[in-house]
Amino acid sequence: MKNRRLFMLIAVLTIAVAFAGCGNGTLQTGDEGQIDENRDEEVEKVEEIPDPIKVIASFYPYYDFAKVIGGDRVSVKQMVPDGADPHSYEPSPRDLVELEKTDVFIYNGLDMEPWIDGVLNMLENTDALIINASELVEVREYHDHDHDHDHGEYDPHIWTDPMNAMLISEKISIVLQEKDLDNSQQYQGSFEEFEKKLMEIHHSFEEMMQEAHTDIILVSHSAFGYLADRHGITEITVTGISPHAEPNPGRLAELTKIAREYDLEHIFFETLANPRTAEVLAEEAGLEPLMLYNVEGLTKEQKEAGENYVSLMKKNVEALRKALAE
Amino acid sequence: MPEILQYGFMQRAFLAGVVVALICPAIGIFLTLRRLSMIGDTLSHVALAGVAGGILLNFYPIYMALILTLLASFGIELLRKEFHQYAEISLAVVLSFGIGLATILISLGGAGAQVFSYLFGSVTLVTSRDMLSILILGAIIMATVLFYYRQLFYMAFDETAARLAGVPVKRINMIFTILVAVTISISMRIVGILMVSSLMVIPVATSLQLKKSFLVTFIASLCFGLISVLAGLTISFYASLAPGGTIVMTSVGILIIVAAIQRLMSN
Repeated sequence: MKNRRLFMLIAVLTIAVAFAGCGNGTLQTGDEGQIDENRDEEVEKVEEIPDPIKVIASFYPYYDFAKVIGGDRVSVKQMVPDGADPHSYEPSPRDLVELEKTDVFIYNGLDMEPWIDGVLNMLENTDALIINASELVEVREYHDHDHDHDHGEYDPHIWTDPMNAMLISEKISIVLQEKDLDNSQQYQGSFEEFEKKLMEIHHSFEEMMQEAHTDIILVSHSAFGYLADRHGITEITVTGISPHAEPNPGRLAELTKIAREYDLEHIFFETLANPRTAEVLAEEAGLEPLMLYNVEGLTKEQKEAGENYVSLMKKNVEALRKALAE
Repeated sequence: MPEILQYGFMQRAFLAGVVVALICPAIGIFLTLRRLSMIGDTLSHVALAGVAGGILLNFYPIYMALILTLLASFGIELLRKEFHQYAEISLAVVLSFGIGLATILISLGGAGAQVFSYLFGSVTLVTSRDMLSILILGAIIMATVLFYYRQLFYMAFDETAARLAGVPVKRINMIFTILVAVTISISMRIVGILMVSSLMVIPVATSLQLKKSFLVTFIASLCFGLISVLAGLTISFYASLAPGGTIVMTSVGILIIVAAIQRLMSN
């Protein structure tokens, strides 16, 4: 009797937990906040301007660019929710339904989205215009410091350089003009405005580099290769190239040595990467941690604070200035 | 036609899901009885090492994964005999080997994210070409299992007795091992490893709760697999959830309900 009650209790608890789990899942995968917001906007505008252009972006930066360029003429949806890793994301059937109806689809490429083949396959039969952002920029190969041989894998973090962001946004503007000729002035206008902001950031990176006394930074995840290459910064990565891969002990020791040798006082952490290993190094080598945002997705706090690509990049300039120029 | 069936990708998801729901428990039941229910997760980690190795050596990563998975499942088979009272040890050993090798291979070369794109699968992203391979695979597996049904049944309970009774244990074990390795390495890429490894075990566990004859258990596990996939896909469509996870949650839910009913009835 006692046994049975215990069993039932466990069963009920398990079911309850299962349902609670489902509930959370909806919020995370749906990214409801952003979509609903857009829908509200749509409803308001319906009377004057019918049929907004539907844009789906694979993850945050492209969502942000499309929203900036499209303004209230487009409804933008982001597939991979903020805080989720694009690598381990599985599109929900609803995502795919929306995808079938979309006018424009923007993705990063270079294996950032392992699920992309299935999605592109689906889009083949629609008249959606597809933007592969990695085709618009000059891609860089990973430089592996430990080994001379190269496997031809390219660094996928193209959006971290504002100049690349500019090329991608320009393409978004061109594609939107193609889909919606009547409003091409507006898209062109918002692109030019955005271009100015990106150029400003680019110039502040350049200015900062002129004052710099060193050009080496230590990072926890190699996501800033494009930015570093652009400005002649050498990026030394604590955990190798993947945030999932374990650093080998030899490399840790080597980095501690590098930090001492180059007299580095700062180490950069990211929002979404696991900072445990980097913390060890901070203790070992006495490095002060700073934040460098990869802008792959916004955290809840960043979203509430109204941050976006431009505002986070400005913070990156300041963080780098602290490490390189002060 | 209801909305859910209007989309090509949902039609393919249901079709592929049904095939996987039939083949996974069909081999899963024999694996579970051999105490090898964790083989799906084990071999998927070996496949990860295979893909990383393939990228490193510039040799087709998918074939490399298949070859390594085959070798690993023969390894499991050998170790299983070595520790025949504790067959799960063989899985723990091979699983650790797979993760260890994968970690080394990934850290050696610029594989990183690329590794995952070779192993990614989702039931809602099945292409027409995938559909063909999963149908062929399904037909081969169902035919083999039905053809050797009696021998497999005998061996699952007592391999020694089966051998004495004249069952070609060695040959059938070899065929079965190859079948498992091929099923896992092909279907993990099409529908995702989560769905494959859980459908091999959970529907079987549910039907074992019924405590009926082997044949009834076998058929019931296929039915539970089917219900999990059909209900899971439907829920994931209307509730906008990740399909793989929803199917697994549904099958666990069914297991709990069946176990609870069974408890109530026996009291």
